Amino acid sequence: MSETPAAQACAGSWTQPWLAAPLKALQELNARHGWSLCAAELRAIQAHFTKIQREPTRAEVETIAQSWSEHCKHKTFTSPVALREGKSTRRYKNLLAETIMAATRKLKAPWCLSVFQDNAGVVAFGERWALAYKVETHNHPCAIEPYGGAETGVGGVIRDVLGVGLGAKPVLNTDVFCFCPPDYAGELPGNVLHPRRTLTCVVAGVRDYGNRMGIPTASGAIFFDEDYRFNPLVFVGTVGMMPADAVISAILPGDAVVAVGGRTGRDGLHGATFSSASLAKDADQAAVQIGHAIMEKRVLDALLKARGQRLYRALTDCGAGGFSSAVGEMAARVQGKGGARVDLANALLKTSDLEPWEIWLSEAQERMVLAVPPKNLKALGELMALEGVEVCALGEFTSTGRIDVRYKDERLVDMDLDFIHEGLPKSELAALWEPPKQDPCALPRADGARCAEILRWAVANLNVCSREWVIRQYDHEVQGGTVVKPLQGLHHDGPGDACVIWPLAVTEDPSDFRGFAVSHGINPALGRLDPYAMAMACVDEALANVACVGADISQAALLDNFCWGSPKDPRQLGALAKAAEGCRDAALGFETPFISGKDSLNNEYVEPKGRANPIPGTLLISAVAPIQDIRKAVTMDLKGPRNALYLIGRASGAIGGSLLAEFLELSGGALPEFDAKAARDAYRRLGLAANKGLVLSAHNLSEGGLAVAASEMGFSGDTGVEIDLDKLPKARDAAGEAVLLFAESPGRILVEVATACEKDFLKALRGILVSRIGMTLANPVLRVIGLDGRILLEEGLRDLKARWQKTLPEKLLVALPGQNRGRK
Amino acid sequence: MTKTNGKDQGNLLIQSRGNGKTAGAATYVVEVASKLGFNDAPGIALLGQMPSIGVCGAREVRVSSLYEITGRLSHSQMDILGRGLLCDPITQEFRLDLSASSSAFLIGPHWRVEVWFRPQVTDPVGESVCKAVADMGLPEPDGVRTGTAYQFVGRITQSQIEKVVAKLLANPVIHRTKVAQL
Amino acid sequence: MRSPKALILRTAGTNCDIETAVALKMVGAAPAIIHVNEIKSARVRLMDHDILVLPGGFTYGDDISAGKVLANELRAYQRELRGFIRSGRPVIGICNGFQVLVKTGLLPQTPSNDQTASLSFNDSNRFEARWVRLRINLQSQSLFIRGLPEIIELPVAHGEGKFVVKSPKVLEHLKKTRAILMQYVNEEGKFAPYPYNPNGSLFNIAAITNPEGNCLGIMPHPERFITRWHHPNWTRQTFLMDGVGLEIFRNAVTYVAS
Repeated sequence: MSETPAAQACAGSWTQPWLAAPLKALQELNARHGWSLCAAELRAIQAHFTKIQREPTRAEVETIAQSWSEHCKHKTFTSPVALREGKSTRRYKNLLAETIMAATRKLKAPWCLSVFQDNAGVVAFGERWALAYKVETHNHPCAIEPYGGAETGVGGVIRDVLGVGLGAKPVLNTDVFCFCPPDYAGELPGNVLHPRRTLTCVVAGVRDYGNRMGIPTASGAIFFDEDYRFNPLVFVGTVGMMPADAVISAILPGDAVVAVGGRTGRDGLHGATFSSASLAKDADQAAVQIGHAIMEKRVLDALLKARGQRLYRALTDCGAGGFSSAVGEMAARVQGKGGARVDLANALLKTSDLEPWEIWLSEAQERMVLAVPPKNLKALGELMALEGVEVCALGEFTSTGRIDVRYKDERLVDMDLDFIHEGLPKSELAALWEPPKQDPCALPRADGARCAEILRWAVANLNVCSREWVIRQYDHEVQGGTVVKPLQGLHHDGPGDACVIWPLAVTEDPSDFRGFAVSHGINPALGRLDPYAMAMACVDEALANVACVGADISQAALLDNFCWGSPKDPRQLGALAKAAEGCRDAALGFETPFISGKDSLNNEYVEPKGRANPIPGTLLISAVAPIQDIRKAVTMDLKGPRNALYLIGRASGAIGGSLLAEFLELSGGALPEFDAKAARDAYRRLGLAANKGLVLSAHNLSEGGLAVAASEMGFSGDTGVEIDLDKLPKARDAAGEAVLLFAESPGRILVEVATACEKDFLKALRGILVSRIGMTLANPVLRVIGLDGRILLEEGLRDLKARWQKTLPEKLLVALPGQNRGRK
Repeated sequence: MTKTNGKDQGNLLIQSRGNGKTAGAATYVVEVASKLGFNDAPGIALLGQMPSIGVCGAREVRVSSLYEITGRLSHSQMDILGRGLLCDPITQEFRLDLSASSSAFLIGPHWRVEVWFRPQVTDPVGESVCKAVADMGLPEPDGVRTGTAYQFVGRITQSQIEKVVAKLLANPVIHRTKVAQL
Repeated sequence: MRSPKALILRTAGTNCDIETAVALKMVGAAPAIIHVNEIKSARVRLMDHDILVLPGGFTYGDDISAGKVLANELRAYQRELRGFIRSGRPVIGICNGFQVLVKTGLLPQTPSNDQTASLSFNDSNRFEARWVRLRINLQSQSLFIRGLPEIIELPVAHGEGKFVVKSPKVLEHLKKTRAILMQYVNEEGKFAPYPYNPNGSLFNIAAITNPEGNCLGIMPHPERFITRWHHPNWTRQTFLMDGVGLEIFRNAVTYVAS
């Protein structure tokens, strides 16, 4: 085994004097140990220990570094920010609290049971149940070791949901990736993996962990862009379900601190501080781990049983920062002043040569920490033993207001909880937003042949094409509740907007037809032009998607995940602040609260000469919405000929950030105006209409606009489409036919309605801008009538489908069975 | 273990597993491969991927599983283990001695690459093997590490094989590799 | 009428146990999900039950090969398991459970208990989840298929489902004893290669039975098609099917009750 320099440095004993040290010496220490603390933070630590007149121990500094890390504290997002835009400056005391969280506070949705405080956001699901949803990123580990990174990312977010309240049972996994195109042929530095390998290994990691855990992975997205070549993004999410009375937990002084699950090893030291640092040339190898899904499955099975018997009072997962974060967070929640006393000699170890501080900080996987009333310890131990889960009691929760960690007689940590949790110094960060210069671009006039060419290119585009190769590798139907599947339509291969879960494996009641839908919105191409508009469009996309399957968006909840470059760059921070404002305004416009969020910053690759290559600012919005009766859910495939096609919403002539702009090689371009309130009303009404059985199919217009959406609906149902562009409601600036076909204006859904139901459908959507733009046909073609009343184009849907299906396997170079024969 | 700070915390049941190496322990490597006539799907898939990194000379690739078992097990017990546990009696064969030849293992000239997890990396399969050996009534091993062996036949140079290892087979962050020309 | 007691055997990595219990409950059984350690400690006795189900999942991570570690563990209980089967009570191994039945030598049934077949890696070299069409051998003695149509649809989700045999004789014997219960077919009901045959199984075999018909091993998941809303096409107007998977469980329960 070759030890990394960082590991060697950490293994030595702690001798540096802190109190008298000049800042420069502290900064050297900081760099050597990989704490990612800034000067003000180092000084704050120094000042604190000067006040109490003793040197900090190594474990104490490590604990503080973990607790104050970007990963644990979101210190950028909760910092004061001065956002300069043009001549005006807006000041936030706490960016997150005054944007995204403020919207939630203002909306006061009564069905939000726990927001922005526990390991996941929790919303009510009927009277008896609650849904917990969390989305995490695991970008840096996936860049270094994609398979292990993806596995441990999935494992971590499952534990988040398992560790919310008294624990929720995971019922759905979600995965969203941003990668460089897999056929990238450019140069890459030696330590950067090729995107084809990253993609296949990340998919394999998500697959192997999720499938082994028995959780359906049924919702996701992939966005391709070359600017992710150094920093791929991997978002993993888990939805869990719990009884409504298990949402709130409380810890009493005297409860035992109990660790269950995997043993503690040297693996994964410094993961939290690691995620604060930009991807360095020689990454700390110890930060990368391999998952052990069956260990976690044992823990899951055992904990759900123990929850049923109420053997513990609270729990949390051991994620970044290991015991230091888990015990520290729980200590702060103990009734009274809080506190915990722990003897690490009680911990079960993988190897006996761990330093005590390493035990405290190790991020070994598949561990949870419980608060257990002492009288329950025996029963808990027996239950865990039956499931093959190891248990160790580390100490007890107290009401001393202190964290007291020992290893036998050696004192490692003795600190005020207040300092750990509140001592982080804050200073105002500078943010700047300047809109990119607009290329004055003449909107294209395109004839039918050109439009057909664009369409054929668009369906085969990497950001549009079929994800079947990925989706089929996930067991998206385990637990027997995926009633609207990720692949939909006659041949089970159409691109669904959202999945619908009927959580039979939790309720065990087949007469309860309540379900929920989950979907995503992501659009970094828009963000390059206007991060505020990106946030709006992402919220719109996520909500439109769940509306398309018939969910009730009036009770939807949102999650935000920001992946950004360096917040030290005022322009990047400015874009981030603009996106946060967009989230706030979208939430208020849609009256849909955010319940949880996460950010991952410093996603940039710094070249040896110092040039930074940040990722495009990327916002993922995830939506979860209840569906009152899953028997009324809707899929996106056209159901048959001679049905009416209605379009909700209006196309604008602004094509900035769209596929059409990419095809025309326009870099800038204006962005459409968007009215969230109008979209909200439309989606709510659509949900009601679906519930009345008036909607045969519905599909959100996203990449590629109307033409691509209509093609997808058509080829998924093997049913033809005729659209008359003259019937489209147009904004004043939406002139050309190409724009009408391919504009990606938000707020639009294409709906198939049986002619017998048209009257009722229109009644259900009274007051909504909805236009009858065409009919379905028996002949599987997409026929578009131009503005002059003549046929603009007629494309065979089977051909379009073949193009749409072959892109990803081709670029991944995967062979299908039958192309090779086994050796005889 | 069950007492903390002098307070009785109850009798926690701890299932512990030895970390240390027992006296008299020996280390064996078992290799398991598809029998001739049964599909070596991973090998076929890898053969198909190699042209993507510009290595086109390979005619055949075979993939086999490796188990490094340390414990107080005799050679005949290892034979029982290989036959009864580590290989599928229908589709696979095993060998304890890497020079042993059979139709499942290549004899002619080829490149052999072994990819193992680094010692500090968790090895879940190794843990399962330990459990299964104990279930068979044999002495539970002190440790089991798993790996994969790849065998390449065809016109391939050393630098090409190193490229295959670096780009397709192993990640130095978690793996250690051995390359040999046989 | 007493509800038949069904034992759903689970261990670390089992993950289709609850939906299987839901299905059994829907057809009137009283399912109990039992950890293998509870059998080991004799807290629960197999013979006290009327139906045995080995559900789907990744027991022990499918380490070494799918179902292998559990099959190895169950070898100590082989006599009891054989006794259970010989007593005529319904036994069903689904997906991972089928892999376990095959690797313990319980299916295909032989006098010697030797493993004569296996479920090996898919030809595609990866895990795949998809709905398949199956043709049922209506001549079979299987108690699980009464009242079922000849062609049904069910989902598969596995990485190691390719049915192979030790020698051609094994296949001949399976045919002769009408033990081949379900085979993968295309829309026309004919044998077809991938993706209709999702794993490259010999003779397109998806499910087998013992000659007496009370022990079923099946790669597809009947517990995932227990209502019409489980089918991928239920939103289409022309779709009229009910959950055919449920009937497989109902047959087991009806058989025990009669």
